Amino acid sequence: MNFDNCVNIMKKDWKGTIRTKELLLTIILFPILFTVVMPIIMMVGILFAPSEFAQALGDINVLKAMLNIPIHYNEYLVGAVLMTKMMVLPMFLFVPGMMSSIISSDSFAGEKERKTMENVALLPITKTELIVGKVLTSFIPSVVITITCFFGTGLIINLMFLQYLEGNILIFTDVADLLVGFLLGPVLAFLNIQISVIISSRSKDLKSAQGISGSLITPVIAVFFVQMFNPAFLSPIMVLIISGIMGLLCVIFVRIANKLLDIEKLILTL
Amino acid sequence: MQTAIKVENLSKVFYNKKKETEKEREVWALNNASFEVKKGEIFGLLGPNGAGKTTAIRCIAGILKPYSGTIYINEENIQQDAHLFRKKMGFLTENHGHYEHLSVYDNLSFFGSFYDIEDLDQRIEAVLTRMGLYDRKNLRAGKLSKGQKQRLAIARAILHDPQILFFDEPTSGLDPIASVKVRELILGLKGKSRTLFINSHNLEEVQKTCDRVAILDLGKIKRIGSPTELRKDLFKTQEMICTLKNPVTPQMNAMLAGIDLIKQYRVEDKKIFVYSDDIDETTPIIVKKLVSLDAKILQVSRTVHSLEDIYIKLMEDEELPK
Repeated sequence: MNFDNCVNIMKKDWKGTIRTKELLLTIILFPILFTVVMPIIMMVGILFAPSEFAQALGDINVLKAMLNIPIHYNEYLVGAVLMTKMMVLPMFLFVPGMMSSIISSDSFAGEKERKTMENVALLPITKTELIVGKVLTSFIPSVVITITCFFGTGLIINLMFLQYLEGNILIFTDVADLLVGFLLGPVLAFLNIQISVIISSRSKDLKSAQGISGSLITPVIAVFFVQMFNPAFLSPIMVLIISGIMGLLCVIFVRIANKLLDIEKLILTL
Repeated sequence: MQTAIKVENLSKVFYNKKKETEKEREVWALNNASFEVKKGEIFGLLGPNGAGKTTAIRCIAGILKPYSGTIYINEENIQQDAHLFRKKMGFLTENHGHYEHLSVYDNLSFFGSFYDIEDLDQRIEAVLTRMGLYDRKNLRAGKLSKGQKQRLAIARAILHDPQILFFDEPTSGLDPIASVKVRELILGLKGKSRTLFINSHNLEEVQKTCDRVAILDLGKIKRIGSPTELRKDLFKTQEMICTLKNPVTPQMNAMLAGIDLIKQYRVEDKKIFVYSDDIDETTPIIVKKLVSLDAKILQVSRTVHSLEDIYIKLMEDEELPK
């Protein structure tokens, strides 16, 4: 495999993404909404009424024990940790889940819609190089955005609770949180990209590809609700197990993508 | 002369799932097609829409898998590593396929990055200058006129200086002036070592550009040859018209009746229409004899059958070879 060919495909697709205003706007606004605006709104509530928040959750000591929250944490920090576990962290997963689908659904359906697929097929490259190029087009920005958002959210929350931190650091010292940010997020993005690329190659146009790829967010929604009712669900072990299963699925889907992607069909359905 | 492209018994079948019976489902886009294209020639594949012309190019390029048959490029079978053979080829597809949101320069830069071009920037500038698009290099491809888009597509096809160039309906949808310009550009690309393969249903275009032509219909090659060869092959009897200053006399009539080479003739006042299987030999004999009979000849002309006549004759009269 000639990796330069994959990089050339990726560079061209990035240029296209940057120059498509609607797509660029979605890529910028969506993460800001989910990892900056929403966490700020949630955390503001805790800053103003930490006791009411704790009371609303029931037996706070049980939750503290369940989540291994240090005993010396004040009520503000306990509230921040609980909110992070229950809402912010699962909501953060929407970013790799959605970003990857939004970008990768354009991979082949976009080429078909723009009637450029035949010329891409006529390039002196192999099918594998084409697929890898398309996957990288979505994977690199998805991972960069995911990690940036993780840092951004962590930084914003720590800054919001700065006066109550008392030498502690939120999110960046929690193993489960770090695993979600650096492992589960990228693996989720990669799996979604694999599936979205397959969907994109078999869809008639970009809209239908985006529509079907959008449904890939369903498992994230499920995790969101499970985590909301059981904040201990995304424990380090559970994150590792989920990431492992997803990693395995990634390997399977890489093979499926290579088998299902039929250049002949792509050209003939133009 | 060396062979640039050799196609042997090429067949390609598509399946239309909507049809009821197995036989109806099979659409033979190419059916045992065989032809050779020599190095340095301009070869035209002529046929109506749906004849299988684009399928032929796509099979040669290795992006469609043939049902059967073999394709050779420079005497090498392309079955393995077809993508490597594409390095030697340039394509102008029916849909120009530009990235309309990218600039003219970026379009060429993207396609050029897959080939071993020493100084890509310099090459892009040279090709854009040649195509008359240099001053448009920073313009988005979507903003170009139809003719300019076609010229950009040609620029893309020749960017890596390929040995074999494929043009699929190169003047389709262009106005007459743009068509002429594109045709001139194509002719300018002909070189000793460069082979041009043109797919077209435009007879005038093929006649003006191609050295040899293959006529394709319903996936089958009906005839191959130069336009002159095809003309001779299909129109054995040719027509010569001789216009005189004075009316045709009975002696002249008798003279014409006595020439064995003449298959048939008719006289219309001052005009003589002669039909012969060898008009080249018959014409000087008639002229000589008419002069000896004091005929004042104003004009001698021959009806030359165009490619259009050849094409129509083939499509109408001839049965497909079984």
